[in-house]
Amino acid sequence: MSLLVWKSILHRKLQCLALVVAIGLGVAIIFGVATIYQGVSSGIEISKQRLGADIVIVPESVKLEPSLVLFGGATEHTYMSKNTLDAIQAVPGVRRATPQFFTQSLSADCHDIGTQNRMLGYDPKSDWVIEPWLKKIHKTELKDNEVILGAKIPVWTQNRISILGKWYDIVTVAEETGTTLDYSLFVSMEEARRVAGKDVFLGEVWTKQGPPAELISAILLQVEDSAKIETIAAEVQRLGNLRAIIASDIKNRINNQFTVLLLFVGGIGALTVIASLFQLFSRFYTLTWERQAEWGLYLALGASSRDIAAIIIGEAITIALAGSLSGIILGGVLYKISLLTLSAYQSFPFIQPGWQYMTLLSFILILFYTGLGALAAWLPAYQGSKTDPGTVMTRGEFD
Amino acid sequence: MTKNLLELHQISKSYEEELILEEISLSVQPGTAIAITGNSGGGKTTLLSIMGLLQKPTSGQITMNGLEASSLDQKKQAKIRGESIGFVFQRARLISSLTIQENVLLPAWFVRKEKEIVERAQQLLSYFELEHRLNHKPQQLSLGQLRRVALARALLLQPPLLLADEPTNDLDPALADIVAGALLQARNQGTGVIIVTHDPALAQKADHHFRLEQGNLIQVK
Repeated sequence: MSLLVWKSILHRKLQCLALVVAIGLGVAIIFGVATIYQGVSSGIEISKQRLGADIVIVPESVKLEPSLVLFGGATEHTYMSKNTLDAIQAVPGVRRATPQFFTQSLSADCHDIGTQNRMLGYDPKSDWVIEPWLKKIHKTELKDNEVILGAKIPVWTQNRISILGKWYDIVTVAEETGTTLDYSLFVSMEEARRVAGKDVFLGEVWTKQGPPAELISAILLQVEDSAKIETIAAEVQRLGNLRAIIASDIKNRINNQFTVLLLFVGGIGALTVIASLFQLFSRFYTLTWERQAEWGLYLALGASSRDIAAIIIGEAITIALAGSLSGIILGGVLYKISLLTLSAYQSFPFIQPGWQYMTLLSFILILFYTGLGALAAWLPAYQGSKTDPGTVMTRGEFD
Repeated sequence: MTKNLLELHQISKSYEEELILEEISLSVQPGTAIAITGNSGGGKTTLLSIMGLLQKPTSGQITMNGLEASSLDQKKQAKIRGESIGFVFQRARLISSLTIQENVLLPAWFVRKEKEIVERAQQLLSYFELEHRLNHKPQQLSLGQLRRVALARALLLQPPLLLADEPTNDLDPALADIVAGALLQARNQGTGVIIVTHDPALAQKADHHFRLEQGNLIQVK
């Protein structure tokens, strides 16, 4: 029986291919959209939990998009005086603040770890971002030759890494945050400044802005529960030459942008789904009439009504299965391409959905479409099974 | 006394107000060939359909091997068709998505006898000089070849009853002889063969010849 199904599909290659493509496109769009949405949602949630800053303060001359500062880690090598921290801490409503120092000149070494990775110096006295990871390995602070790797830095099996000619011990790998913290190497503030100070390419920066030991890149800030974040951000900006980026605003904006985008793309996906289903339903409905003589022949040769129904439903399920499976593969490609394209235009927190999520999503989509395929064929199968076997004597030639 | 393969008891068939078959009774014994002739549109194919349980008569009974078959449900009738009746239709009725060998094997797929029957399918196609066409598609064959494939399909499961509707129609005399020879060989092997035909020569070769006139079956031979 399965051979009959298969041969019939091969015989109607073009029609079946059109159905497979229509189903595949619908599944691919839904798969891609659902996966990206899941990644962004988890990214926003995780970054909220692990970054833990209400406001990020950078020098006013940093003209980058706020989302790039927050999630892209870009700093333009623009620094501010380390004394800014004291002024910030004095603003009423500020619960705690911690400075960070970034440098991105990690690609000049023979042990190049990639241009997208940056070194991030933290202040052990005030930090709360790095502290939990240190606590896990029972340490209070990093020595000058120790480093914590971001979650997406390639793992170094010998537990050591060379950066700009100096070897560091890797004490742990940080948890994924969905931000560019995942591509950062965390060292002590002093070590980051020392590395940056030695960098010949940044010599001009230090000449203009002062020695690295007196500078910081950003300040992360948490506010009191009773305080209004917007008010404190305004207060900070009044101090002058500073730019306050409210994390929740950016996250909400990204969330909203993605919701709109994904609703739009998802809507197209839903339309494709409806179109492909309509195609599937109409195809199998007309099939009953087109192939009545064929069903009549099968019945004359001893096929039962159940056999006829099984052939019709078998064809529909095979097409739906082929369409949804190819849709999953296409959806995977679409997901990767969309992610790369979106990342090029917008920095956003993103945690790649795990295999469990993708497998479950694939399973649900395949099950859904195969079920719909069976449903589309149910009425034609019922009608086909009721074909009068005598039609084989009276109907015209077969297709 | 030989048990009848098929018995028609006062079979009538009408479409709306028009009476096509009128109280026809007929017995078919194993190893007998019966030819039915008559004018076009006279109801020959309808009678054959009723004998093959493809259509229900308006009234009357059909008994197959002593079993009243006309009132059985569709599933049981399908089982009888699959196991006991071979059909040769007016048109070849081959499935264009299947190869010639697969078309011949088609009845076996529905009665679940796939494996042991392939060799017989090849022997039949060889008998009909189509052994070089096993993997061809029906659309690559001539009309005469298609007819022979249809006959091979009907003979595959060695059914006790073979119903042939105009089996030599449109065939040249040489091919018509091959087809007639195959039908009579099946008869000689114990199959009950009923042939609806316009071909007097073929009707002459049958053991019994009936003519269907105005819904009534009149014995000629």
